[in-house]
Amino acid sequence: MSDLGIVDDQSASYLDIDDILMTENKISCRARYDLVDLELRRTAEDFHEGKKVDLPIWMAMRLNEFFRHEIPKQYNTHFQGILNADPEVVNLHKEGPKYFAMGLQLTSENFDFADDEDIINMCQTLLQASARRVSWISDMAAADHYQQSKVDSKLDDMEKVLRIVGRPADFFDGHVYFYIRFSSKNRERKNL
Amino acid sequence: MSGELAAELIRDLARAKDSLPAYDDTAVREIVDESIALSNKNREDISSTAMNQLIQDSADLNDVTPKERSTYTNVCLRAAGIERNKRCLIAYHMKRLEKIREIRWQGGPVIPDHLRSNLSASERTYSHKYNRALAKLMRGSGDLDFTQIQTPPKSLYVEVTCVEDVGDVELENGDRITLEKNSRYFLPRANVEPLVRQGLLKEIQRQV
Repeated sequence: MSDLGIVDDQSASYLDIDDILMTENKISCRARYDLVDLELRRTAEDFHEGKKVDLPIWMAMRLNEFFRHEIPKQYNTHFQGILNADPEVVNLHKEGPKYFAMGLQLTSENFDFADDEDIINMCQTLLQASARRVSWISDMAAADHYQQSKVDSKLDDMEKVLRIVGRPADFFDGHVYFYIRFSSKNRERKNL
Repeated sequence: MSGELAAELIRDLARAKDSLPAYDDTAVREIVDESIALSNKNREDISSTAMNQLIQDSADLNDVTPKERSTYTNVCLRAAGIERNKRCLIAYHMKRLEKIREIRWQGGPVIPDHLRSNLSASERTYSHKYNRALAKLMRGSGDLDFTQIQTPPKSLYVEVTCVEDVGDVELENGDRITLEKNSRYFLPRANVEPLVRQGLLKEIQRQV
């Protein structure tokens, strides 16, 4: 299950399959220095400073010392605008099946994004988007099969789990939980 | 890139969702071999002159030669790969054990053959020992089958009334009992469950 609470605590999420899968997602990185014979891919490569490469999140976090990271397209300011405007319409399954979990992971201080403002705003955006979508999902829970399958195709993994759990009371719980995690990340980033 | 094998292993397990795929012995061994290779390379590099230089001077990464920098980077890279492999392997095995426990709780003490062939030898031992431990626990709690009942029962004995005239019935523990329609009996819960499921008995709700 995509339990978002465990993204924070490294030791708690260690065994979680969903977390392992989420950290396989790639993120664009730029080398900070000139590096030679780096064994990132099958053959050793040379990297000049600023050269771009796509690394999985787990690697990008560990190699924070050598690479600068770029915010993925689906979390940047432009996309946030779209989310703010009309969250129920956005197909979050397409944007990376683990949209919210990855968003939360990106707020970890192991990342060094050029634009810190982006991330702080992102927390806010994701929070509000999740709130509106959760109430939209629970409203649609009463709808017929066809409508529901249309809804389903737009949900990311976390929302799918919420929907299976299914009762409005549980939605609310999940949502409050999510709010707490995101708003605390929000505050942390602002204080950095 | 290192970590690919491990990612494949985990993805296969995740794709199987509720069922348990065959234990991928080859993949596990390959991942372990990869980790050993990485660790050997690291051991070489760490004792190399480039690294010693770096450690001695504790220099800023900007102030050293690209060669020294890269040696250090490769060392970190490989270490990250080894840890990732380790994490994936442990998660793989733990998840499978979790599924084995689920099989017991949902399916009963006997694993169907097609699932049994998907277990490794150690997993078969685990399943066997787990079943034994669970059976011991259940026996010690008044012979209740935990895996069948939803909530803890209030008492070990239950009063039932007979719905149909069945005559002689042999209970689980070997006792014979005569069931007559509309007469009441006070029996251990363990014996009652299967008969209730067959529709022969009906539990009387005590008004307490």
